Amino acid sequence: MTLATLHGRLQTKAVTYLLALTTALVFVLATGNSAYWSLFAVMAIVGLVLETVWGLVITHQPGWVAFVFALAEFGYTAALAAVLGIPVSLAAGATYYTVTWIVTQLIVIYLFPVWYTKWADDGREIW
Amino acid sequence: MSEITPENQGVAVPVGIVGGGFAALIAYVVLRFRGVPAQNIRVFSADNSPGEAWLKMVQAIGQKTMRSESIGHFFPTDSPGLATLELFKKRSLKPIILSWFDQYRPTVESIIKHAHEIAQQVHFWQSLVPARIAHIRKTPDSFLLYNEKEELVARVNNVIIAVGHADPVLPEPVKKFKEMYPQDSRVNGAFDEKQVQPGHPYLVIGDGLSAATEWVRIIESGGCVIAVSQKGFQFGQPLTTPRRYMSKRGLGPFRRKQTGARCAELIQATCANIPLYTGWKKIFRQALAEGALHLIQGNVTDIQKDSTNKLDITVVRPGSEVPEIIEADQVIAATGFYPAIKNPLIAQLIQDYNLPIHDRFLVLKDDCCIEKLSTPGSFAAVLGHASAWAIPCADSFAGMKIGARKIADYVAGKESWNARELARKTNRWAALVFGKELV
Repeated sequence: MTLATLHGRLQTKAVTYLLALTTALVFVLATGNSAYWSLFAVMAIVGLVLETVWGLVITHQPGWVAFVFALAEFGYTAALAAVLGIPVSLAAGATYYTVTWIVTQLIVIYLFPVWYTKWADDGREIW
Repeated sequence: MSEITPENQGVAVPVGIVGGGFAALIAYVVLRFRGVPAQNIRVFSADNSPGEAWLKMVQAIGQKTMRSESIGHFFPTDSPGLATLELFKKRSLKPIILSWFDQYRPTVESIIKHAHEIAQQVHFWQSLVPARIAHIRKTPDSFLLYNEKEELVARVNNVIIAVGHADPVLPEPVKKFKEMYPQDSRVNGAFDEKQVQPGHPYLVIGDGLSAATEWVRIIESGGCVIAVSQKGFQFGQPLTTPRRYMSKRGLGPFRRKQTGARCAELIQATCANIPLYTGWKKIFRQALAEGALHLIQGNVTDIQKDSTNKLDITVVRPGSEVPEIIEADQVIAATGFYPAIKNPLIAQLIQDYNLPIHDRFLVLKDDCCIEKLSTPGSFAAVLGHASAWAIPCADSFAGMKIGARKIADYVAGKESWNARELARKTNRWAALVFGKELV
């Protein structure tokens, strides 16, 4: 369940990019393909734009909606990556996105409320 | 009142929690999680265990499941939800999937067990002082707590008042009937002990969760319900108050309102309503179709015994001047509680310190503190039902936690993203989740 403010959505999203960046580093090191940095950049831009839209449109976000939003985010990221000609295959990109999303979700859902107990109360705002 | 001298005041305890119910437990757990040692907290309560008084009430109305969802628990943090814990315990995905759709509701039994376990893990009983605080007096740097005999029980630097609900409301005709026929047990409050007999018509006054829980119990036992509400029935809201008040998303705009508008919104937000759980929807629909449930908007003005010893209940519908007589075998008044300002301890504080009230609400700062009684280094705060002015959903576990976390900052300092603090919190959280005691 999420009742985030627009600022909260954007701040939390921005902080999770540290995780996405770490995952990108792991993929770059594992595959030797530095295009994952570009994929991360595209994902970050798409993510922030979509979070802004969700923040303006949605008040309460039940758990299941997170899956729908993830699909939308992945779809737009893949499309933009294709348009920009980023040399990462769809399957590899999907793997990178899925791993990043799962790690991010687990940390955001389980650890953010521990590290900052008022995180949910403050509408996911961190600073 | 006993004479206060420096000798009998003793050393002030940093935090005193007045009340021993769920709000007190939540305040205690949050403080302990933030690193406040058990010896720095005292909990003053006549009850032996958190949830004792509450359990009697829910058992009286036959409530089996909570209205709260997965995060309605006593952990100091929102995670893990009860659904996640159940996933691991039962090795079933069902609770987590239900939770994704806001359909997961823990049982009353599991909540009581969870409260007991958490209380043990945080050493709640180590801090429990068996006393009912009846009077609080402010000194420049502390609070003096007195029992019902006006004896000084303790001096505390900061006081958290978590006294729960005031008494249940009994409508005038119910009160009058009980006074006239004290031996007749057919007219009761929802929280009185009562038996449901199959095939009998029951008139239930009220339009909230307790009333609806009574309906379900009566219908399931083969009885028939005549439900009467003065303002009419509001169905479908899943939680007691709208969900938006559980975060800054709804609290921000609410708190920015002028006093009058804020009060109007609060009255609307805390208005009684009935959730339509999946099972209940089916029961109500079927009962309405079969004539086992009648919904009447009207005011019960009188209850009398007729010549055959049946109960004749006079109901006046809105816009009608002709009273209607309804026959029933029993009357149950599930009409909620008096406002928190009627709680004797809070009423006394309001009177002694001329505390501001608006309509039926005690006016508080947004952090749940009572401005007139709080000075730097010594605060008086309110949690639970009485803190609705700061948090409209204050009567829920989530609302209690919002207040407790704010208050905890004044005792334990503001939370930071310092790596050492994060590690400490993660360790304490892991200890609580894995059933270990907090050191």
